[in-house]
Amino acid sequence: MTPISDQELYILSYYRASELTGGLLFGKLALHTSIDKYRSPLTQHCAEETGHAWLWTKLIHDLGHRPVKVTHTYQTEYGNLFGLPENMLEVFCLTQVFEKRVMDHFIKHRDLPHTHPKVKAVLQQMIEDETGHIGWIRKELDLYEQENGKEKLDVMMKRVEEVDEQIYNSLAQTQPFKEYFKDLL
Amino acid sequence: MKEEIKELIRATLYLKPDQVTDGTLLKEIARDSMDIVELVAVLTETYKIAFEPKKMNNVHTVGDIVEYVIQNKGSGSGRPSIETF
Repeated sequence: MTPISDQELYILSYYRASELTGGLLFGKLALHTSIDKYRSPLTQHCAEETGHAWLWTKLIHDLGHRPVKVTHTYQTEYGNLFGLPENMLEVFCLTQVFEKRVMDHFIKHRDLPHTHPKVKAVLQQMIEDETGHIGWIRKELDLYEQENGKEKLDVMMKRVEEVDEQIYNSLAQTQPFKEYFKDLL
Repeated sequence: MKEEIKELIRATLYLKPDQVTDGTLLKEIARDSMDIVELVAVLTETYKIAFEPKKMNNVHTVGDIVEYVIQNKGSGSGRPSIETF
């Protein structure tokens, strides 16, 4: 079995932790929301995120390792820079921007020449899963736009995108991401 | 009402009764931002509060949370929508 580097182990563990964080957040929202129509899709979203966390965990084990403890995730950075989401609308905007970032990044990671074949296979699975993953959130945001106009949503999305860009650029300068993704970040 | 709010905080974050006193710091009982989001969701929905993060800047202890809830109770629309939790 081809070994993976400590850098790659950390990065896979980071992906795992970020998926877990997303799953936990959506699970908590599914538990507490008073909006009846969101209870089921929030639960499904939670299940998908935690399912992905398990896929990363299993992959790490299959590669002969244990996940590294990572508590500072991508969502932690959102919390630091964006602040607490005030309502479901902000959660949806953050999720849409985050999932787009994840998809773009996973495609880049998959296409790196030195990516381990097993890692590549899981990345490919994630990319395929992500396609339908946030369809329900897009629908809700479209509905909000129809009812409230484009301007308010555009302002919020722009703010989230700026925060996301800031986080991604900052991570690109942080080890081990800086070294591992030096050819693409 | 104060005790009722503290009980809700305790139950939401799975704490023991002696871990939730007026002087308990929020950072001692909320392990991460997920806990805070959960707490905000529960309190705003239970007490129909319009959540305003700026007003939360001075909220550091359980006692502060209780006061915040009492002062802002009923400020929300009370109607579940995308602009609530």
